[in-house]
Amino acid sequence: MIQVSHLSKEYPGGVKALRDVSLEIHPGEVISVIGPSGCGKSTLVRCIEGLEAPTSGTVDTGDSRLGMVFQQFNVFPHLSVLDNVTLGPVKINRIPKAEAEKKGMDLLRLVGLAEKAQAMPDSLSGGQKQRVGIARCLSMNPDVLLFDEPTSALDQTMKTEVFGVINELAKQGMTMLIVTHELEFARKVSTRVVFMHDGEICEEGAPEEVFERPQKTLTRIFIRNRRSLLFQADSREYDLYKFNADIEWFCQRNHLGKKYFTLELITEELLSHFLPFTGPIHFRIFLNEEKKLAMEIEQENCSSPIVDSPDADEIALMILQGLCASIQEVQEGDSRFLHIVVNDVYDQD
Amino acid sequence: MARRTLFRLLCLLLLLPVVSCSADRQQEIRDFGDLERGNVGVLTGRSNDTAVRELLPGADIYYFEDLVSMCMSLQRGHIDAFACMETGVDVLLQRNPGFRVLDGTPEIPDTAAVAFRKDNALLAGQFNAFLRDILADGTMDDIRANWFAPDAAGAHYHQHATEGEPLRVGIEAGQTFFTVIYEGEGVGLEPELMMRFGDALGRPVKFVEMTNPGMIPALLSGKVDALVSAINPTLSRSNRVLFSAPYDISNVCFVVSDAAPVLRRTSFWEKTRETLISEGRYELILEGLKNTLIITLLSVIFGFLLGCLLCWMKRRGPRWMEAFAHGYCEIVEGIPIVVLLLFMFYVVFATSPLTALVVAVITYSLHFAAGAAECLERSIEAVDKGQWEAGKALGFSRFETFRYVIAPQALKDFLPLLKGKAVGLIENTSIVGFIAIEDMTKVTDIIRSQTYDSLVPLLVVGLIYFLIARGISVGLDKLGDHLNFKVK
Repeated sequence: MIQVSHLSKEYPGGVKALRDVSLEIHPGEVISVIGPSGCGKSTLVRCIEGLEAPTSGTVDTGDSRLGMVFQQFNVFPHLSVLDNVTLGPVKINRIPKAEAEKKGMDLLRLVGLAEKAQAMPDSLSGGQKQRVGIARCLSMNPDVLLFDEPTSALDQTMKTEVFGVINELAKQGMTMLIVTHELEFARKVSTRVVFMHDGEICEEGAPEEVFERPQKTLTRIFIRNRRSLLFQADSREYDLYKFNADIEWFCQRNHLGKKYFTLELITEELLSHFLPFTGPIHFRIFLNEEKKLAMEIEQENCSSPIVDSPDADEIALMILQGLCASIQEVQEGDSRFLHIVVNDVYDQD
Repeated sequence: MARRTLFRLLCLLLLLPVVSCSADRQQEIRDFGDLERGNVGVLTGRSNDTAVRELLPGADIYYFEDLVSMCMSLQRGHIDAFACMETGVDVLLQRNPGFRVLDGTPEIPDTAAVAFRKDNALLAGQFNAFLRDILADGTMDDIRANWFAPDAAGAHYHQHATEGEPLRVGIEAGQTFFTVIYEGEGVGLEPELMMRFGDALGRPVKFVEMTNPGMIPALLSGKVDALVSAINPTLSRSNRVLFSAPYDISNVCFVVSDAAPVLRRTSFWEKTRETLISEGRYELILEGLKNTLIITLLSVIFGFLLGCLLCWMKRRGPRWMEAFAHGYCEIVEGIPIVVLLLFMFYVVFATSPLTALVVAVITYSLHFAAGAAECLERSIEAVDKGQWEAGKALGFSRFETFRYVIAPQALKDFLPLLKGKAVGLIENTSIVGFIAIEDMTKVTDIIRSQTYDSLVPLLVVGLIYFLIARGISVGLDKLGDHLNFKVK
């Protein structure tokens, strides 16, 4: 259906965004392109759409029509929601206005915005704007939909709105290529996942393969880090509010409900009563192999016990032990490591 | 109530400069020697200022653009005396009670001759022959008496010759007693002289009114065949043009005022009546308004179209076009419009048959195009780049994207920008008098030279300019509101 062959793109200044990328999109496929920022995934989708000219290589779209959904929505702010959806059909495809509007309303119903048909885009939320963008795209009857980070500019609830619509399209059998940072979503919706790194396709395969059994080290690191929360405290002046917000965000993203409260208590106990701040402290919060919430803390430049210290505050230690299912302390070089598994006794909401 | 008070205060403030021009006369002028330490007015572009400077090395010399301003300055005591031609000065003394000619001044000859192109010796010869004849048969004395005798009738001469190749004559009103503008036409000794000359040749005379700095270039470039404006045939001018025999030989005289400095002799309403209604002057103003509007509107239309082309060249054209468009805008915007206008009229279109009005429209269109192109470019660039991509992704061509997506959004920024340029344009048209177009400002000059009053004509014309500018603003704002987003 779409054949991308040996695509390379070099920007003026010598930045190589794509290096010899080949990709085939078959009808009915939902392909998610994941990878770290700057790996070239946006450039790939823009080259396929024709918004950017590749330095070398070809994109053969055959006679399939492409549609594109943008990160910044790019809805037409001077037109009402309905007019956004009918502009293309009326002006380009020369479809009678009444017919175009009827079809436009159907599309708006599909994305759940029928009641906003007469509203101006500036009065809509980001998620609503993006859904207008999708409906507008569909108005031109595309065979393939390209999504360039459709939810990066949205907050969580709005992301869910947009994911819902994309999911619906996937169910209807729409062929789609989605560039995204949302791994959970990518995993759920796609038939194939492409992991890009440094302008190249590093690994591709079925979602379970790529997410559960990544073959390449780079993929593994990426997926592990994307599923972890990393935080660094350099001194006692660390940003507590940022840390707590990150924890809440992490829990929300991983559907961990109110566990953030437990996590916040643990980190607070550690930071105020145990960690000596002999150097930077690195936190990593993640879900371990048994899907249990775990925490790894590295205290640099430290060789004395932290939790096992004889000077430890007894009450604080009691609280900490209550919150954690297990605490292990290991010395590795100059750093002292704490491995904690969070107790899920307190999970009952 | 407060608004009313404010309005009165504003009026007072506006009038203050006029009222405060009270006398700062330095001394009583009894004889020529007193002028040595006085303020003496002369007219720019006349040759007698050199002689005045030599005679009165200690005096402060003030230059005036026209006789009216000079008379007013004398009335108000800003200057102690002014130099002018003796011929016809009686008329001036009649109109300005209290003025007199200073006795006992040394003789400074001041003659007047007609100027022709050097390559047109034939016409100059014909004029000299004609002049010799009318001096011999007493016709010249009749003409002089008609205009300058104490009880001068000032009967208008009507030309007989109507067919044949027109004789184009450059005249200048306001600087001399020889030519004044009456009901939109030049009358006086010089026009009559030239019309009689035209009759002698069997050619109808067509007068072109101009201002001093532009006269000789207009003659040299062939826009007119002769210049008659009490021109003193000096040596330096003889290098460039051919002078006839003098039709008037007189001296420079100095006019002083015995009256106490006065501000006004007539009431404001009397002046208004005289400015607007007497001798049908409102027609003169309407004529000026018509010219101003023609230049403004046509220039806005043509300039906008040309501006679109320039903008396209800047944004989409090949490199050389882009460079050309950028260079063009930089240069045109960087040159004072008056210089551009004179350049177009006296250099580029010097020998073309285009009328001054057409040249003005071309010049202002070229100037407005640069401004319009800049406005267009800025307003298009203000639209998010993502909108172009969205159009492209929907399958729109570049033009379709522009037409349906970019242009409606750019308009929001474009109209206010354009408004500034359009208002600037109408203000800038006030200088077309330089190339002898009677626009509103030029008409004001003419009225001032007739009524010896500046306040009312300037107020009236200022008000008209203001109303037009305001009209353009409001009109474009309304248009903007009409086309704008329903939701901001």
